[in-house]
Amino acid sequence: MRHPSFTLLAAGAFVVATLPVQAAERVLSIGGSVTEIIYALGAGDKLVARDTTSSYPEPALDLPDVGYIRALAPEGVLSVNPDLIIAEAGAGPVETLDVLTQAEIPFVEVPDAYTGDGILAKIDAVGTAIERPDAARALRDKVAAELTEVAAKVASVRQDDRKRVLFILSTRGGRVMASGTGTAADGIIRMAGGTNALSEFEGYKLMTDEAISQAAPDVILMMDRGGDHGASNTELLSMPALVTTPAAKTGAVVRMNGLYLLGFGPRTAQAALTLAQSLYGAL
Amino acid sequence: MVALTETDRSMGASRAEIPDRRRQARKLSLVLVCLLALAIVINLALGASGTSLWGALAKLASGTPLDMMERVVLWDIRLPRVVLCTLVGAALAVSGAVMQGLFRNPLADPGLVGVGAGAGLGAILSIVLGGFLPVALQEFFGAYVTPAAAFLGGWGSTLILYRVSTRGGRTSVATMLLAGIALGALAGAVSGVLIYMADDQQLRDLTFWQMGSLAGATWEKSLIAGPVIVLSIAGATWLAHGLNCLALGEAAAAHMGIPVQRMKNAAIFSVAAATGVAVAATGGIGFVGIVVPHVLRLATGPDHGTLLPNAALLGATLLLGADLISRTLIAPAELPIGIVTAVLGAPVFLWILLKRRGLVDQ
Amino acid sequence: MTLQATHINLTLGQKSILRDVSLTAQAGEVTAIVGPNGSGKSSLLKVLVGEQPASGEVLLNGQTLTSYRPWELASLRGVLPQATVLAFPFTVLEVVRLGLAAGPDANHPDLPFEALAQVDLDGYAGRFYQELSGGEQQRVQLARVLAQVWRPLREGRPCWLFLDEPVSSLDIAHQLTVMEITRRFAQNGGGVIAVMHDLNLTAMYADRVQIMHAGQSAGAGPVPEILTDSRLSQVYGCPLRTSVVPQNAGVFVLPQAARQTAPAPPAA
Repeated sequence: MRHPSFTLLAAGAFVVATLPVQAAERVLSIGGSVTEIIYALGAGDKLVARDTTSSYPEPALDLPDVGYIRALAPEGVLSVNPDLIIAEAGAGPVETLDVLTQAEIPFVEVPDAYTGDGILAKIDAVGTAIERPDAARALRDKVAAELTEVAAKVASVRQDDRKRVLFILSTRGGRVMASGTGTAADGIIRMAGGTNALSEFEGYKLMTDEAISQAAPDVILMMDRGGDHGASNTELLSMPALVTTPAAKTGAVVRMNGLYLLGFGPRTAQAALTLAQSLYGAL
Repeated sequence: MVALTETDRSMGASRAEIPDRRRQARKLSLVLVCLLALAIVINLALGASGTSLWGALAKLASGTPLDMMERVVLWDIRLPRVVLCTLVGAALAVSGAVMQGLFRNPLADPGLVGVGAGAGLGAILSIVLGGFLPVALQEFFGAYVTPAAAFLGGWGSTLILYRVSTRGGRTSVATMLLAGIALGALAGAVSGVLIYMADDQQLRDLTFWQMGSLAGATWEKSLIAGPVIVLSIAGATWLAHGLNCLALGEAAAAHMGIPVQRMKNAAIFSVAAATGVAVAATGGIGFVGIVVPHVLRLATGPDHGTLLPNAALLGATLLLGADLISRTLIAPAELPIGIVTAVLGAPVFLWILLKRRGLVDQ
Repeated sequence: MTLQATHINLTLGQKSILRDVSLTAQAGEVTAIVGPNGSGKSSLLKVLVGEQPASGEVLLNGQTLTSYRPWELASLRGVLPQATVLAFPFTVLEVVRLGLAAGPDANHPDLPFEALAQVDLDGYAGRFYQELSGGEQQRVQLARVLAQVWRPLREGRPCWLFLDEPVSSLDIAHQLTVMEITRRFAQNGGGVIAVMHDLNLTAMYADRVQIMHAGQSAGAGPVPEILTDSRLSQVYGCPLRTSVVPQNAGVFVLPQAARQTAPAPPAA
């Protein structure tokens, strides 16, 4: 056996498989925020591969891509010969994870929670997994400070001025898929001092036109997919579901990079600030 | 005319010149067996990781234990995947051929006419609503729930399809295709409702499953799908003479001693069982069921006695080829195999339509 | 040994198709069912072969049809439909072999060729069925039926041929070929029941005739008794005269008689 291994008891909430005694040298990172944290911890040179969602920072794009986080192919993962896999929650399928267990490759699933504390826990978990506790502590403190700062700024917004924000995941086929509670979008809207316009359900759902009209969002938040925003905003706001909303009247559409906005990684405090500023102007 | 005299038997000197398609088909079977064996070896030998089949075999021969990587890649990843791929490829091609024989139309394909969608609906139902089954039942049936539900979905939709599109023993192709579209839409709609109800974990299972992939191949899945598929194919081969006679029409088949109703039930059952477990194991994989039988009919004729076994062989070989592409083209990531078969199969399907435009207008 | 159908009644929807029809056919004879369009000839044949369920009783060689297993029935009698559309590109030989495999002579690989020779299709074995003319296809189907029921007598029991308009799309030479086949089958002990349109061929080859009119039997018996002027004129709704050619050649039908009541052609 290549890795004499022992079981490390998990501190906090994160799930831990077996970890090697020596610090891992060939790390496979699954999930955009995990990859960002690894780079932020100065361990980018240890990465041998990434998943499709890991698009930041720039050097990550040069790494081999093992596919979509939820549809990992077992042999593809094994082929990059990792000695540690760190993944966001929800990596799969189960069959692939089973094979990785068989192959005795340490697999760390980092907990996901869409709050400031969630980010800090993620940093801790990744730091422990790649055995960079000092760097992790430093990054954690820096991010914690940024988060506190954003929270303080956002707190200055008067309760009456809080904007109702509708996050739209997609408008494919003229049907609006929007975010309820318990999602990364809901988390970032809160952090930025907004109110999620849809709080009756959890997760992402296809909405009826009337329900959206009823939700009366002041601002529409979407992921930035490139292209001509002027034209697409006009088109978006003339959809029957949206045309009656306050957001359509003021043309308030905010688009941000998906990973930046929803990643819940080291840049999230900054993202929350960017969003808050687009909602309320300079704070 | 009463006695078969020697002079009677010797008549027709030109007989030897008539191409005997049965013999050609048997020769083709041999070729296909070799191709399948080759495809199996290639699929075991090639993969994203550099693990060498030959190195492992040499070790086995010399009694050296395999290292862990070799064991996992060859035994836990490639071999179950090759087995499942072979089974599913054979199942899809034979189901297609049987369905075409049953509907007396070379365009009938479980994937195209809604049987796949029905099986898919069954699978989705089991994934989303499986949690409502009593725990004891869940534990007892475990991994069988989804295949069984997919089978029931496929069976139900085949029965509906047959009832709707066949009247007085004749199948209207247009009705069949339209009914297939309607069934597909219905299954899609119900699936949509279920997806709306699904929680996050179920959604993940669904997305992965819907993409149609062999990446989740395990020994467990092969062991569940294997017996069902092997029995369905064996059963289908046993129906071959009946399907041949059915080509002359239901009445003619009945006068030729075929218990038509029972044979049709058996054919529908076998199609649904094979399609159901294949869909449950790998999600929707299109076009194998239509392209393989068509190519074989062109090559050696429509006799189901040879068509069905050859379809099993060629279907398995083709799907292994598609899976090889799927596993290696963008390695270390994978293309869903459904995309590969669609890219390869859809043009062939269009070509069939172009060559035989009259088919749909019957 | 006979085919015996008694008190057959068939109603489809509101429409009465057959009313109290009885028919007896003897092995060793050709029995023709004749009658105008829509008189119920083909429906009667479908009832006789068990394709169309109806009230009444059909006994074949003394047993009800339902008491036979499907394969027993297939080795006892062959059925030729009016026309057959094939779903897949089978060759002529493959079609005839399907019949062979359905009957008791499946182990005679040369028999399909002999059956094809009988229907004057020697050399057609390798052709595609779908590429043949209607008449050729009809003869291929007859060859298939013959390959299924090759011997008129099997273990002392007669076998049967049920033919639905076997000569409808054939030229006159092949009409005679096919009727000769039925004649020989009957002479060698088998039973033949054929729905016929051509009254002359019926008169030449049938031993017995059952004449149908509006879903009912309008008479059954030996040809000279049934094909009479008055009966034919009444059943077919136009004046017909039968006659007998000299040299005792049997009955023939003279449709020319119908012209007598038509207005005389204008003078040239």
